Amino acid sequence: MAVALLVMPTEITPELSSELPAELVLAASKSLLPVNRETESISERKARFERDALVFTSPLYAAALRYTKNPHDAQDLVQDTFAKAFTSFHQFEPGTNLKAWLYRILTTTFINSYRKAQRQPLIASGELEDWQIFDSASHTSDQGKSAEDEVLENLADGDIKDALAAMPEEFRMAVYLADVEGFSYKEIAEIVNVPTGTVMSRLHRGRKLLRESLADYARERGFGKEPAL
Amino acid sequence: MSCGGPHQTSCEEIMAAMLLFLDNEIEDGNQLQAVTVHLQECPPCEGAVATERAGLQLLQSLLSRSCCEAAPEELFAKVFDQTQMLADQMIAMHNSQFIGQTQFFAEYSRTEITVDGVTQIIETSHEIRRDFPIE
Repeated sequence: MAVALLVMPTEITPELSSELPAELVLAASKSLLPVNRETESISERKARFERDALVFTSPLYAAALRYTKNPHDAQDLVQDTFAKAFTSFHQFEPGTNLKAWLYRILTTTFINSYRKAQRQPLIASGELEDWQIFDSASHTSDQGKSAEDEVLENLADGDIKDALAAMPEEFRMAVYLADVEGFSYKEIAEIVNVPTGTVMSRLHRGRKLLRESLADYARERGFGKEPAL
Repeated sequence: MSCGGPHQTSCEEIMAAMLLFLDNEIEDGNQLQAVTVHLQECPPCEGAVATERAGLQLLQSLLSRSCCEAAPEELFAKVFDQTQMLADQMIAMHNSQFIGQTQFFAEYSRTEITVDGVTQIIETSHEIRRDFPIE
């Protein structure tokens, strides 16, 4: 029992757990109790799946929206993901990162079926493997928030979603998984099935692209035309 | 970018490690320590890191703010029903495998009769299947 208390559920971040109802947090900590997958009945497995995996329905749906770019496909993708996850749930090692496991299924399912159906082109330009190329000229040594950043804050949610949706898929996934879901490079590498170095490269370029694109939106919307006094 | 002061780690190395540093991805304790020490000694690098961090935090907050759609109620219902259906199928498959014991008996015979150079072949086969259900 002491062990179960020491190990916080990795899927539930401390900030999130404070917002969750007590019974959910309790359920999450119960999930750390040893499960004998050999003797577990299907009904027991179903109960464990509903308790541990289905809490990720909304985050997976939001990610699926980023991947598929439309609500109908996003719903289908999440449903397919949970079907695959449930039928192979006996293979999932309890106590390891369930959230990353589910995102991996989501991403693989998307790449294998939905992307083919959507006929989306892959990135045209070659990937920058040398992520260390750092454009230091673009960084001023000003402390704190730049004027450009303040302008971006005025952007509507729709513009931000559109800017993200317009990015090449590989960059969009990397940025979303890192900057919204908070996955580490290693976790993203496993989810997307590419080397960590590639994750770094995609993240670096993706963030840069997104910032440029957001700045364009801000200019189009007329923000920041008049210099702040 | 340099303050002109002598550093154990060069400003270029710090700039190269900036992304890793901001993403908390520097796992090596000595490396992390080297970056931290450098940033304390070197105001230009410290400023560059602060600007980059502010930009990254803004990007993250903009994204988190706009990309947090809750799943529609119908999706929750569909997933719930689907899980139930899959569990029922699994239980049915599980049960059908262990409903009892089945024994097969197969018999085959072949008879060749040759009379005056003319050969006649008689083949017979039969199979008996016996189920022993578990009561």
